[in-house]
Amino acid sequence: MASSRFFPSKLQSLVKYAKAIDFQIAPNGASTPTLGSREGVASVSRTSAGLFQVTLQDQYRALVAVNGPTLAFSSAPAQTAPGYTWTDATDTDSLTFTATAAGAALVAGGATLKVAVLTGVGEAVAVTSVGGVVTVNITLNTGTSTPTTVQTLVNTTSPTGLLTVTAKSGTTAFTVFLAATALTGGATDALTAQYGAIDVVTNKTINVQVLNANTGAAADIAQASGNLINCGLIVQAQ
Amino acid sequence: MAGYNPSTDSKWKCWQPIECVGTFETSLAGIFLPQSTSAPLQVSVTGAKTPNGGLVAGSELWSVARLSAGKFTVTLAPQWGAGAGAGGLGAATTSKIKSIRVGLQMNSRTNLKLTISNVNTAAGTFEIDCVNPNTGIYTDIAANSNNSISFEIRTSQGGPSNVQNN
Repeated sequence: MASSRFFPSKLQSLVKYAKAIDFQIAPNGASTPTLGSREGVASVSRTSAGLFQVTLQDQYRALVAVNGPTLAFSSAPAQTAPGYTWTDATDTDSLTFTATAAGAALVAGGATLKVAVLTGVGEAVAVTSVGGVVTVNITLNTGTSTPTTVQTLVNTTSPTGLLTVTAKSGTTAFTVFLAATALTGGATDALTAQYGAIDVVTNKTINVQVLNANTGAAADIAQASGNLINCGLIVQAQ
Repeated sequence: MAGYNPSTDSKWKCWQPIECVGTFETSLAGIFLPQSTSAPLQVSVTGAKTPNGGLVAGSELWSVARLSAGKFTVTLAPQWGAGAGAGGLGAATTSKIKSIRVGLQMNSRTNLKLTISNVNTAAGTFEIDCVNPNTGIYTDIAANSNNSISFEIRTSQGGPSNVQNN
């Protein structure tokens, strides 16, 4: 380990020989990423969509803490709802949508609400109002005694059952957000990042993955000045 | 030593320096409380100290303002470091930023996501954006003492040059 790489700071820790490593990954779509700030880092590569592997210059004894990762964009991207929306503009407070066939469009009040294609039997979507915006929770009753609750949206195929949507609100207008079909992780969908496997001891590698916040699908980020993944580790030196 | 309890008294614990990898590193961290559509409140403020421990007026090393729904602008104070620009990062020091990270604390479970954007080294500003991915809407956070946004910026240049860093 090159001791010349380490510089003093005023930060302190109860862990002996703690070192702070901060770096930035500059994504480049499906192409090879580069490093922004890269001190302590030897290289970065793209393993697959949205998955990056960073290799440190040195091995360390242990991982103490991780910070971030935080996504940064050149400008705040215009965000889109991850599916179709239907707004209760007339404030009817209670709306019921019923599909006559699995995967079919739900129709109510002259508006069309397209729904995700589900796999279970007897699926139900409960919609409750939260501050004027409706949160959608989908429960898949697959025929077993314990239904599975899926937060927000689903993206499966091969429908086998009917779907009923019931929306209830207070006294104000509200909006229902549902996916129409499989969510694909559009460029303007909200993205999030998280660490994957981290091995600072043997292979000196850190995996960072970018995900669509709704679908969980891996998502690449286009190259642009200011589009960065900010990462930070505290490690213990050998 | 009277009152010394090494297992509970952190000031007697063996604090070790954390070295940074690469070059000299400066870190600035802060916490603020979103107040829905009102101006956010700073919780953790670093700056020059008065003899009795209070902050010298106007010496805060950063400030925050609500830009629009779900968007906040953090501005680093000039005295934070050397270099051109209000925040001292300097127009030519983009490469000196080692990392900017944000974190969200919520009183109840949420699906809100934070990102940053519009990092402007010349102005010493950056934007923190809060989006509800379910709706695609940049979203304000209700006022609550347990609803906070924290940030930390680390650079290899700058730092408080003429104030006492607490």
